[in-house]
Amino acid sequence: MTFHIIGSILPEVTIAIAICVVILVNSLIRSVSAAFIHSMILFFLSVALFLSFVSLEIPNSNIFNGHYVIDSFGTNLKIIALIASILVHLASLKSKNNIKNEIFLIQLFATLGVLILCSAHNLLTVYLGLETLTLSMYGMVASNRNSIEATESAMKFFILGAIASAIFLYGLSIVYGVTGTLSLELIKESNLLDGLEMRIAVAFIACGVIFKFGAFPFHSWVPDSYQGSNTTAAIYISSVPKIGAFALISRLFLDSLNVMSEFWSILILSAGLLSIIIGNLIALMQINLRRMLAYSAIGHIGFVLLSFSIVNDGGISASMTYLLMYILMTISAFALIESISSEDHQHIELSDLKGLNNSHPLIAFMLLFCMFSMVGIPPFIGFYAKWIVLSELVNNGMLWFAIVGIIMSVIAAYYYLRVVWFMYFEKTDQPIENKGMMNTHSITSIFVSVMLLLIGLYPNPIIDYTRIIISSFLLID
Amino acid sequence: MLLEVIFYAFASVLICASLGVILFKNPVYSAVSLILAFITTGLLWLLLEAEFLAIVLVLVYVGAVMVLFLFVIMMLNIHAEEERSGFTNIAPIAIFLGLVVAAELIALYWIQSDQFSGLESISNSALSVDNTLLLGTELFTKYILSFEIAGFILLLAIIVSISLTLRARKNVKKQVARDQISADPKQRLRMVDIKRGLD
Repeated sequence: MTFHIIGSILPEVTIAIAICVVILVNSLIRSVSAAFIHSMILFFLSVALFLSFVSLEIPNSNIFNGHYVIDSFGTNLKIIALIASILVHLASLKSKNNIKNEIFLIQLFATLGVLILCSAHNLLTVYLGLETLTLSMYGMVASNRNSIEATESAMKFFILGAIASAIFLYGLSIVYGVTGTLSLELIKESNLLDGLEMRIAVAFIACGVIFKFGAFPFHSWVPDSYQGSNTTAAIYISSVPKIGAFALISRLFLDSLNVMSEFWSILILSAGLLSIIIGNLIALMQINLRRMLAYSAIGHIGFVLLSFSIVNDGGISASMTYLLMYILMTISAFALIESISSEDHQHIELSDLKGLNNSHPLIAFMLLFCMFSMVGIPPFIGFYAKWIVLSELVNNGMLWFAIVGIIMSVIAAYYYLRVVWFMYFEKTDQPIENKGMMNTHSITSIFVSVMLLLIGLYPNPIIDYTRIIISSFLLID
Repeated sequence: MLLEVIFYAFASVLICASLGVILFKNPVYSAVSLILAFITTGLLWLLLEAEFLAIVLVLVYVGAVMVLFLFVIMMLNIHAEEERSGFTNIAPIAIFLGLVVAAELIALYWIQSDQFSGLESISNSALSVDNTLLLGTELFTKYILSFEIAGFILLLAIIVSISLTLRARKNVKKQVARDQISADPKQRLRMVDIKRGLD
């Protein structure tokens, strides 16, 4: 029996063991090489990935007295989160940067938090998983300690995050007060879900979830922390935690509070729509590349939320498809920026990209892929992501929202294509120095960028995959 | 009867201590009277037979949190009187909010006191069982997963706070015990052949 329970949570156990091993190796062995730590972390992440593929075979079950649920939705999200973590880890391996090993350890904690969120089936476990994720994100942003900018952004992020967590927790406590239970399953079966208290609670929970997604109106931490933190942290917080947030919103709203979907879908819809508008409009004015990507991320998350608010099979799976494709795009974009930034030149501005085609033709070409994908030009994946969301919106009679989405995508094309313009058509006499090294980092960033094109040429597997996951999840209800 | 005498005695000490927290001019006195407030709260919990929680309250709040507070107060040399100079401006709002909270509590107690009837049975069942045992059993069976995750959160907090604050300063001479213990005479002593003086 005990073995059966441990056997169902093997991916989490692997990450937990990895954390302990990395701490011990880091502290006990003197002068341990960074390469050794990296390969160890990669090994454990791959083992966890393998074990989550294995645990797809486990039948749906509630373990730990219903605190944890093993189902195909959770396991598939875990697989996605682990693949994203591995890609992020590979993408942040750059030779000769003196990022401390701790940040990779903190990333392992964050991955553990995401895995817990994917399977949590009790308000207590949900909150603990969320806090594991959030606390490690604070740590990641703050880790760039010598920069005043990073410290400022970490402080802002910490205070806003603490407030958002408090509001979220208050919402959970109201749910507990009304229904008298912490279990998501019992909350779903409760017949007390129509009062005013529950609406207040759902609004509070939605605040916490929207903060975690980094969508309007709780988006103000996103640009600062993307810009202030070092790129390793920025790649991570722009990709993997969004999967955790998606798991959170699906488990809490879609599964357990499905009865109230008319109410929360309005909240999610307005947050999504405003994120698309605000994110893309403010991104137009940015001159710092990372800050621009942060606002564009707000816009992308807006599409995810907009599509989520349709609350049916097609809408949710379109939302998940968009999320997956966004994660690939953001990893590729940040990894490419990382490869042209150096230790003393962390903040790439748009004007720094002048003449990139002459100094780094390959990276410029990959960045072109990435930007075209973010605009949504076929055949890159960004096109399919936008197309599937917009077609779901139109199919469900939300034509006006689709039109706003299209207009905003067209506006967004301006600032994405400006990057391409700077790279290819502007001349400069101070090109970014070409180090000309092929290392794991640049191979990964090129690999991910090429994937943007390859998946874009043949996107059906991902679209079918999310559709299967979401319909199996909604069937359980 | 005796129980009520004890309760009212401790409760009045608690109220006085809480007033002391906000009325003392010296912040150290305020902190110390907050400690007194925590201890009397712990004693009140003992009267409710929640002995484990009472001890935990004293250990955690008095032993850890308040010591930290006192450290901060003494290290930063805070002058509370200057900080408090704006108190009269916000006093009306503060009194209003305080009255609202008090009214809510009274309303909750008088109007809906039947909702608290469930609490009787909880405290009655607590009488028969050792509540440390009860908490431990719950924590390590039903809530074992949450307990373990909380452990990882604490580990994370330790690692993040150390990695943010620990740094090797260049110009500070500090002892490294490990280097001292693992010192090898071969690296430190050099045997030199010296010619005899008279040859």
